[in-house]
Amino acid sequence: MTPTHVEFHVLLSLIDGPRHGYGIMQDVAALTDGRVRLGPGTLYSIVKRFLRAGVIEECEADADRRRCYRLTRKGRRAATEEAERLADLMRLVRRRGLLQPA
Amino acid sequence: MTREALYVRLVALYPRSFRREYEEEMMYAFSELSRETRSPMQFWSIVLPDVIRSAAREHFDAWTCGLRRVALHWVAACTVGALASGVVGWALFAAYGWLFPLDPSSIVSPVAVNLSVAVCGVLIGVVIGGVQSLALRRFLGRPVSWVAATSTTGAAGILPGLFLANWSGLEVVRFGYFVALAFVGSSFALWRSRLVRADRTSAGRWIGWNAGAVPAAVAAGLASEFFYRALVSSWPGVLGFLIFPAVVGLVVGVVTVWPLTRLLSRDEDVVADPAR
Repeated sequence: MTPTHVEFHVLLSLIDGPRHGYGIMQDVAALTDGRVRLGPGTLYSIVKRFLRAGVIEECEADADRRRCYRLTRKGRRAATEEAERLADLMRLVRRRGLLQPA
Repeated sequence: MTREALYVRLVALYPRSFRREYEEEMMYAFSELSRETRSPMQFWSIVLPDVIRSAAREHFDAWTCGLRRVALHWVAACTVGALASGVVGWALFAAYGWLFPLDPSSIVSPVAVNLSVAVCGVLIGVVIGGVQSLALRRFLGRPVSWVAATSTTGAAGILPGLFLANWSGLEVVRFGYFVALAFVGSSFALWRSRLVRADRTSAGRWIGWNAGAVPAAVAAGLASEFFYRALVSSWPGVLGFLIFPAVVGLVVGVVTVWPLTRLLSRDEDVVADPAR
């Protein structure tokens, strides 16, 4: 699967370990300095699709009995592939002089 | 009205199946977001577009999930497959005219004519069957069997079908053609019902609807071609040639979609989980 921009941020948020829904929302906002703000509807719509595709799985509920989610092996692979695709794109962008080399 | 009370009403915009699964979690996330975001303007600028976008998406997903998704794919596959076979047919027709500029019946034996009809049946069957097997790949153990069944029935069904047409009085009434088409439709369906391991009742329903679908589709195709010729004074060959297969494919797809979904509903795991 090729994740969209927002879906990729959700995958990135789960790289470090399991999180519950609001934890993902907070982490995505923090990762992007507030540029990407997920609402509950978008988040759980993505969660539903990811669960169906086997990209994430539910893990045991935390102390507040909130459902937690974690990446599956397939999800980690999808995140890595997307990261590699973006890295290739950045190399191309730099080669064309649109951005300065890092 | 508090933010929570308003959000409860907004959550009601989502499909019931989505609410059943995620409403509680969404309310929790909403409460946390509400606690952290003081500015009403900023808060609702996040929540309102989120509800509109995601509720619309979930309704679309709910409408196109399960068997309905299969049904949409099936109708699209029938239309595209028939259209593609129309292109193949048009190319064959053009090639035949280029190879045999004289009247073909004067130089080709009846055996060769029958053989060429069978070859056309195979090619059309391969194209239509190929597209359909893509739409049904999750239900078929070996999708290539579907293509093989469609192409062999395309060849084997057309010749006895034409024989039946002649036998039932082709010269007297055009009705004979439709007998032939019903035969072709039921032959297609018989082979295919075996591929999806259908039970006797749903297989019988599927075969019956297909027997009616093919002649009905050809009648609709002929009618649309007739109206097209009547409305358009200049007759652009390729476009006119494609109207017929497109209408035939669309009508076959629409007419057979209900018995198809009944036929496939036994594979409940696949229907429920389209990502499988």
